[in-house]
Amino acid sequence: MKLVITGATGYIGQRLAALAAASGHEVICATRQPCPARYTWLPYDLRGPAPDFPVGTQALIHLAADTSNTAHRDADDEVRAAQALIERAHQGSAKFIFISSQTAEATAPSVYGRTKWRIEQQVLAAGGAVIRPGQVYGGPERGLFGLLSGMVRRSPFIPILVPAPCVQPIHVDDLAASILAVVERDDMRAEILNLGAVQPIAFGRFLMSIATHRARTTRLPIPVPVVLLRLLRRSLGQSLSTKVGLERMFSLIQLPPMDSERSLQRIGIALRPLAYGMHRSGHGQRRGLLQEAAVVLSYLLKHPPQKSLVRRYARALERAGKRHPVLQSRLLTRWPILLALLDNSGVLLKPDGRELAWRLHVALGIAEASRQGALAFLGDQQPRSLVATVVALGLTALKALVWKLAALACRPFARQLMLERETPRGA
Amino acid sequence: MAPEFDVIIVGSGPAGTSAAYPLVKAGLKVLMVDAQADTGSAALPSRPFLDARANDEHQWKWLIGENFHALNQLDAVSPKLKTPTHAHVFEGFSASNHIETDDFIGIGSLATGGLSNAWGCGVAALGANEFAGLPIDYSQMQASYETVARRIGISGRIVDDLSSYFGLDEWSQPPLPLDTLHQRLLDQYTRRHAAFHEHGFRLGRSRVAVLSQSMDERKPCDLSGNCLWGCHNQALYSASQELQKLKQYPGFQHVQDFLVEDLLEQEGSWAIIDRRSARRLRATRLLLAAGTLASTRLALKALNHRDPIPLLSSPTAAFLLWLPKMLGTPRTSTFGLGQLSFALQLSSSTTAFGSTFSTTGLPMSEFVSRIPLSKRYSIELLRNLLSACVVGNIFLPGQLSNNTAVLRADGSLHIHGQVHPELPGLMKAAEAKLRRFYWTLGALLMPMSFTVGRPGADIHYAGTLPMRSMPKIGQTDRLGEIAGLGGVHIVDGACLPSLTEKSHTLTLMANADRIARSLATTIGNQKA
Repeated sequence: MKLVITGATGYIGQRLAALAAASGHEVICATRQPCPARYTWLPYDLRGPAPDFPVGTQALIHLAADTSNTAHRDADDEVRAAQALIERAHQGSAKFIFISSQTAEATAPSVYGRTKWRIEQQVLAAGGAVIRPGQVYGGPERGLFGLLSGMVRRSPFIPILVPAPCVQPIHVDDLAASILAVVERDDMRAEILNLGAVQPIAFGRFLMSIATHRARTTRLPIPVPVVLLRLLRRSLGQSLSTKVGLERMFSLIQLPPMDSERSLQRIGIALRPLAYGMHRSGHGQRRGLLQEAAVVLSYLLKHPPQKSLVRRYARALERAGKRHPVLQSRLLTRWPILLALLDNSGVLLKPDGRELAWRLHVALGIAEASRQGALAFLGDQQPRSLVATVVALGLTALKALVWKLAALACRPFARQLMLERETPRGA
Repeated sequence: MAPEFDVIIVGSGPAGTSAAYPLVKAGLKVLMVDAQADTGSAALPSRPFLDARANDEHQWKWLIGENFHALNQLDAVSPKLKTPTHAHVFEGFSASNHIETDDFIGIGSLATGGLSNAWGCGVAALGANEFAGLPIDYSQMQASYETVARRIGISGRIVDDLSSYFGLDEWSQPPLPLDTLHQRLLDQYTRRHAAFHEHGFRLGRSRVAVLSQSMDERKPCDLSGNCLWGCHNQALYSASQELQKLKQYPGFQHVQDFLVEDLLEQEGSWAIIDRRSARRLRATRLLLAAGTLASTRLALKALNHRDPIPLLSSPTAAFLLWLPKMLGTPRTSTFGLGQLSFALQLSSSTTAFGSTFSTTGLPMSEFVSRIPLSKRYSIELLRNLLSACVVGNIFLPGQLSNNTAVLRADGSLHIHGQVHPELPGLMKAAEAKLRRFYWTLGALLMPMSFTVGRPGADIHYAGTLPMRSMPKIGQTDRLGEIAGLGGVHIVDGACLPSLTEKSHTLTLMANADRIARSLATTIGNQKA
């Protein structure tokens, strides 16, 4: 299909354009700045007149918005601009899809939310589709997500607002896929689609998730009463508090939860878990492999493995086309030695244990071929007395025996360690 | 039109290079082709094994390979087949040569130098009695043994119970030093060797194609323990070392990346055809030295011979010996190939041969997976145990194998592996005898460690087109000339009429030398 995307160089637009092009669509970017050369550029500014769409345009996706923190004097302009676009789409009988916001509401506290609502009304009246995304995150650190990530990286603390406002996160690529699904379907006209996690989570938890899975640091949560912020807003006054982003914060605090379950089902998309989406790769597979690597390697080496070994294990598996972990259990992560319950012929020779057997071999090879491995496999190369060596061998045999008995006793449960999953597998 | 070359040799391994010398020395125009496509430079350890293990941050690159080569070969029969250094030696052989197997391990090489790039370097000469009934003049064979032995460099010369068994000391360098474990075994043996002798067990130094004194560019073994991973001294022999020397003869040419697909007779000369480029090269005579499996297929295909033929291989087993008194000795840098060898009388007609090796230069993962304990404790156990252990192998004569090779209609060679019905009993007897003898030497043959290899695991293949005085179709004459294909000779293991328990590489090299000498005279006379 031939698609025109406004705001195609923005946070969401960029991912959407890439996905649409990869799915075989012809992408035309209606943007102020020239777009990457692989797309067609159609110069367009929200403040200017609507451009003439190329002949045969089948859908217009309207992403462009004035998100600058200057007071929204131009709200009417923005609505007018949308109106002009809707008209152009109508003339060319192209679908119109408007990316709105969870904050859109006739009585929203922010101008932003009210503007979005006004445009929504126009879109719906013209038979277009409206998409209201929740808290968009993941991918490159841009947009509001970029702002929040930057804050988490810089600040040693994370403000935990009390009472806690809630957000419904959606990964930027899941959103792009949803938009594209709406574009490709003919049965979605004049309706509002709410896209975000079905279960809202506290905003503080969202920020902590950025810290843990994205920035990979620990941040101290500091409770901040909302009352304090209200006081601050009053003392700063409307225009100044808009400037420092406080207004945006309040639109978040007063955010009503949205019912996204029906919309998600209608589009037929499963959102990836937050922890997976936060990961730089955008999915949890590598992360799962790295966790598995840490478990298997520390089990073999008896010490936490060097980072390079963990990465090497994940690479070896990926090279062999294996992208999913087979071990994913908090118990094992905490006590890798429990792998001894699975590392026996009773489990490894069974059909569902073969994969683990192969992975143990791979881990063995990687563990051995390192300086850390040389110490574990060859020892310190100091001469020992015969007696000391015999005692050491006896102890090893004893430990092995104890674990063998434990494995026998735990056989009915041990398999759970392999199957237990922390979170459902992502999209 | 006269052919471009007097002789084309297909293959640059031990047989091909051995055959080349007499021909080029006689001033003939010789072309050698092999199928090595690109010389991938694998990482080698830059310092002695134990030092590298303790200090080399990048050791994984040569231990498992940057492309995780070792981890993709978990089922390989020998650690040699897993080392990244040797990846290019074995790569693509079966597929390129259309060799299919069932119940048989079929290994070969497209690389320059062939399988000798990953050779265990075991050498032995066959005695006059072992050539009895064959159409080969033993004195000629002996002269060839000497030529080859002196050329490749052999160490292990010492007066011991295996001197006559190997029959090589006259042309060898002194032995390499033993490690403490092997020294102890040898000391124990020396004290009572007469008694062992009586019961059919002889122990002595291994004779190996590894230098203990420098020779030309090659330096002697410095006991760095990197035999498996790549010797920076080139102390270990590989036929690839010969190419530089051969190129000094004006009549010699070497072409790589030429995979022979067909042999074609044209107006009294022979052409070889490259599979990929369909390029043709012609000579008066062809010498097949592509390795037993590949040479066999080329010969059968040219003959269009579709009857099953026998393929000899030496049944083999591996075992682990533990010297309890040596517990607590630290590992030391030592020679990584055979240190001591044994000859074991199993019956009036059957002798077994084997060698023992230090465990130091081997990857320990090999052993960990074989121990019936969880891996975490296997590692712990072996850390304390393995420095007091040596590993051994044993080979039985080829007549105990029962493999067949047959050319299929699609041009592929199908090999079916099978053993002689007597073999399982003989293997059991061998295990029991070894256990008894080594126990007397103070070493315990570890229970459950004696592992019999699958047919072909020895990689000693021979005898598909055996030399006979009156060859029929599917056989060769005393110069390896294939009956029905005048002018095409087999000079590698494929034409050996028998396969003993001894390492057969030196014998096939000597045989190639013998055939080539004879041909050099014949062709010289024809030209004159």
